[in-house]
Amino acid sequence: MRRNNHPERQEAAKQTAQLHLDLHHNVQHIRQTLGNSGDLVVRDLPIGANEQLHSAIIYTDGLVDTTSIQSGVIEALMSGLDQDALANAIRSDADMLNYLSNHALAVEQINETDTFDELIHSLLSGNVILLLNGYDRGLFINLSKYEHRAIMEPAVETVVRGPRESFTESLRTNTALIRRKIKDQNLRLDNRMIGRITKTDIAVMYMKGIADDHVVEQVHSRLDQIDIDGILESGYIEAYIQDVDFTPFPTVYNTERPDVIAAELLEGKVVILVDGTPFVLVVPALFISFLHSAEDYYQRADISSLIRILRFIGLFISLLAPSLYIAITTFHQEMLPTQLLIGLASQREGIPFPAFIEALVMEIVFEVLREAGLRMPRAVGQAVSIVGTLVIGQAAVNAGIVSAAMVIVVSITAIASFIYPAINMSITMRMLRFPLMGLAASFGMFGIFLGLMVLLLHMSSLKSFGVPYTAPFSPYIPDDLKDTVIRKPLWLMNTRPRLINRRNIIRQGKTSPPPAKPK
Amino acid sequence: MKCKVVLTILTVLLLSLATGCWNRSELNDLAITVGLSIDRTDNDRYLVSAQIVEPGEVAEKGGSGRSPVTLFNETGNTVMEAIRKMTTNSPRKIYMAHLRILVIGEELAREGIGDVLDFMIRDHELRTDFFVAIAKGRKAKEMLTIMTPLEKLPAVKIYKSMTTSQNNWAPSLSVTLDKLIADLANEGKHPVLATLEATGDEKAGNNKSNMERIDVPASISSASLAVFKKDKLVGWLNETESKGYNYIINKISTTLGFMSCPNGGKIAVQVVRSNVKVKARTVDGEPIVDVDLRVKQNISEVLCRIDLTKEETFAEIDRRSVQKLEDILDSAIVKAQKQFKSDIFGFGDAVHRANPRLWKKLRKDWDRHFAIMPVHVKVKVQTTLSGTINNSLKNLIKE
Repeated sequence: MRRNNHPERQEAAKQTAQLHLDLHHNVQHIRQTLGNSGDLVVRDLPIGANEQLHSAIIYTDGLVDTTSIQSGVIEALMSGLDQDALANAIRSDADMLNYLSNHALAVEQINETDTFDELIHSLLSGNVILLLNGYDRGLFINLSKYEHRAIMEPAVETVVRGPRESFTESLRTNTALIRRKIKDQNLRLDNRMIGRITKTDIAVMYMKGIADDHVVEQVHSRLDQIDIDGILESGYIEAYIQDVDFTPFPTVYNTERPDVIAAELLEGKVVILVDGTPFVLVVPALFISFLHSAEDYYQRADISSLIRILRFIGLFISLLAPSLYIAITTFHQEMLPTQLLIGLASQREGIPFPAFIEALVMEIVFEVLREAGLRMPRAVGQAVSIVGTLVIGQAAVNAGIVSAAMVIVVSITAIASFIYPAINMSITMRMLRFPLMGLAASFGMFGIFLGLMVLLLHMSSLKSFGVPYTAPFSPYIPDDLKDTVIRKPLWLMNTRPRLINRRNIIRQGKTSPPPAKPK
Repeated sequence: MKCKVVLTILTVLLLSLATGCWNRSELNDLAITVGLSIDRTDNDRYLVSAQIVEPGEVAEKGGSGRSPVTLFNETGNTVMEAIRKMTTNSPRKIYMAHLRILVIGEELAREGIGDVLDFMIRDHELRTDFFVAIAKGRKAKEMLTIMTPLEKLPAVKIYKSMTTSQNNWAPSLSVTLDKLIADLANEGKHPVLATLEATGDEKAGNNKSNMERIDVPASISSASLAVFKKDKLVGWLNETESKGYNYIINKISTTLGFMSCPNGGKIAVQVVRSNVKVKARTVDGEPIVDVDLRVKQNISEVLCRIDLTKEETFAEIDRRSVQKLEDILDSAIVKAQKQFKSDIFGFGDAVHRANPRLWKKLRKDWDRHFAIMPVHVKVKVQTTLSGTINNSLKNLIKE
């Protein structure tokens, strides 16, 4: 084939490239297309007692199950064939490809094609190709098997009570994990492939009859529009399907927990699984769901409600603690109790920087520590954390660079920012903390409330796949408040969220009994 | 479009930098004033003294042995002028939102406190929750120069001991600025303020060594009350009269009283609940006020031989308590009516409520009417508990 520098024409040429009748030519073509790749295995295999048929088996080493190839393909073709029947078939001029796939190959999945393009794609996704001399078609047999991680405990979303399994990088494992939770015929799975070069497998799952058809349609149409060379993580998909780009708030939820996904499916949400990542996307996403943890539903209602309230307190602390400290100590000193004011003033004695700079320095140091903690090699972890604690905890105060109160404020903020079950909301709050600190330093309390007002307005303007982000607070849906800041007992949660699911909202019979009372 | 967005964001960001952060001040740029005193000087000016915290000295650790507070003094034609002038002496801005106590000199109080209070109300920085007190016998400034035990900041010590004693000791009263202003503006009531008295060696008090001894040489306390007529100081109530005053204005939360036993000796009772109703009525066009006091008390100290296991004993204690309380209340009323002719109890308010039309006639010279009006005091006492023992130890000791 002539080299063609124009990629589009090259693409077109490839697509139309048909298999040749000559086996040798076909094998050469595949070899050439893959650039004589080192992991390409080509095995010439004469079939029949008299070697009447010339065939070739081609596969990519490492992507296929070699034991299956040996037993299911090679052995079957070499010794498993009924030689008389074979001879008969050849004599009667039957279609040998058909004959072989029907009588010889002891494997599950066999497909046929006549284009090189498909052959090569199947080759690269773990299929074994069987070509016969004299046929301009080829078989590809799915025997893919590659090394992947076992199902492990969730690393990010940990719970005390609840399932201990999390998704893995393998799409099939992940869909199976979901199927094992929801054994219903209405659980639908649409497969698709995105990425011009990576050709990544994507699966869209939803409950037919519960999920809003418009949302499913929207998901598909937004996925259709993605035209990118590669999808390496679900974050790629998220970036393309989210409603608004310029917002600090995530409008697509992600999780690594199959139980969460099952719960979301039952609420009528649509999930998107991407091969190669354990993080599964969920749409539509509401602000409130970023503050909910899977465990909220596994613990008793009173405990979960209290913990959720705690989480909301944590939300405000992580967002506002430094800015409130700045505003109160530099503008509204009269708001503090006298003793506290004197205590704070005595700590600030001799501190050279204004409270804002102090807070900014401490926050940045903490963010650096956090990021370093994430990225550094495990082996040096301890050293970094010791130095970090000493530097920001002890030494900075003793040296008179920051006040002890500021260390407390920053630490409380830091700890509170870990209370979010969803890490991306925690990042959002981290980002928003800094402009609020600036506002507090320039306008005091007034600035903080101005900032919060802007945030609130912005949040109310957001939508995720047609569902208002702040629902059920705005628009106000009293019935859906059952599962927001508090969580009612399960037997009182009779309906699904109304905005996500418009038709099929009853999730349990009204008669579903409250816990039995002892007689 | 994009350009516009970027421009808007830039403008907002730059503008917020250009605010200059009006009235922003760091904690270590504030001279936190906890006490303020105002005196009259000989040449008709005000002497203002501000007790300012040295935060470094109050801190848990550290402190270089300096005094925990410092006093800035300045004279001026007005209070505000003197305070502003203080900055020539103080490296930090005088910050008065956390003022705990305002002490006014006796001399100034006799001339009238209305003028100096104007600034206190007008300035936005000051809260109105600090106590106002009159320095009895000495200059107000001297009340801020005495080191105090337990609390490092003298002004805070005064504030706290006034609060605690108001709750536990009947003659004490603490008046915050807003209450004082309400009383001043009220035609039917004249204000009463707490007084501060310094006892002991003043020279020694003005020194950190005052705190290095167990029995401090100089201390400060608040005992009697200062009676005002409009905004002018007219005299003092002694301890008993102060007690009566507090009973009538219903400021007693718990206190201690004593009386004599039927057969000699004394018995002390702890008032646990006290409730007063002041009602006015009109008889023949003249106002009459009924003071109806109900007290619930427990026995807390018995220094005589009485049989507490008998009900009659309790009845007797009730009777004697009523007698004693009536005397106390009367003493306060008589003093206010006869000596000061100043309605410090707010009887005018009671008349106003009961008979507005009559009040309209009387309000012009209410103080004259107050001085001659009949006041009926009725006290009801209920003695309930006798503590953890019944009869006194004295009963067991055979003579």
